[in-house]
Amino acid sequence: MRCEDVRARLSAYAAGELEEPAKLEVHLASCGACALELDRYRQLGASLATLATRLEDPSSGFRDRLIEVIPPKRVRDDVLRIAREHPQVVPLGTAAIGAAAIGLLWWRATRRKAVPETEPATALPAESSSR
Amino acid sequence: MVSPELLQACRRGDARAFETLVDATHRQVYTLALRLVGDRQEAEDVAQDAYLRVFRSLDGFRGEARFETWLYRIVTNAALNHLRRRGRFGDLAAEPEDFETGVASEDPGPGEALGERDELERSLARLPEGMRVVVVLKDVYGLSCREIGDELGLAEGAVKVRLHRARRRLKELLYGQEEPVRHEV
Repeated sequence: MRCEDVRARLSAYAAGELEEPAKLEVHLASCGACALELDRYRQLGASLATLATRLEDPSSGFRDRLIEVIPPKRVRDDVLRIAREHPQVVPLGTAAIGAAAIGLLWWRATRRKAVPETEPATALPAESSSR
Repeated sequence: MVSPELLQACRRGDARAFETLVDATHRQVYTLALRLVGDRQEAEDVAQDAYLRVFRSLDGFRGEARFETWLYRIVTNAALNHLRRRGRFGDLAAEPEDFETGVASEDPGPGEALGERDELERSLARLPEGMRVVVVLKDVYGLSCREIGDELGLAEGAVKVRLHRARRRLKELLYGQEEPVRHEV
């Protein structure tokens, strides 16, 4: 086996992923350069494995910001759960939302009537005519 | 470890239970996100996105796998989506040969923003996303090549090729150039 062929399989061999390592092991027994590369891969693998338990610290306040994103979902779920467990309230809820929407539309319509659509020309600031 | 009782309380909408769950997992979630996206602010965004997904789909978690495994999968998915959205995931779609040229920039890039870290973490951060994701998921978090392929939409064989190239690049960043080849045995 040539060094190039061995190098192409070394990282998998170091990780125990190579299915037929016999020829590669014969080469490694007599090639110091490839054996050194194997040691490096093994060191690398061991170091990488330690990272799983090495935790990074997020910025301060990160935890609280996470908690803040939860309530909207909880409220929505509460509504859905109530609707599921007490289906009789669904028509009442729908009626309430409908009544609120009608009320809002009525309020906007009456407010529009109370305010003239255009202001008279005399309403311009007096200082603009004095310049 | 997150208990089934805690998860059940979360499913019921218990606010305290949610807080306990976040307290128990948020550093792990953040760390995984950071290792995948390589930037602290982006990692927090990814973690927040992941928790929203967790709380949205907690009812669907039936406990066949460990909760942490399920959680990590969601974080990974959120991180990959984030990288795709940011247009920084082209490396993975590229042919493996493209990894060989110009991807491990001398510019430490996002790694510098990570502050005080050892050589390994800095080297990881210098890998292009397409390499880093594969090696982090396999060699740090222990996913199989098939699982990684499922996450990335790649064949298992393609993942193995990328994994080898990522390890070799990482080894070169840490230990210098490979020993010259010598002979045939």
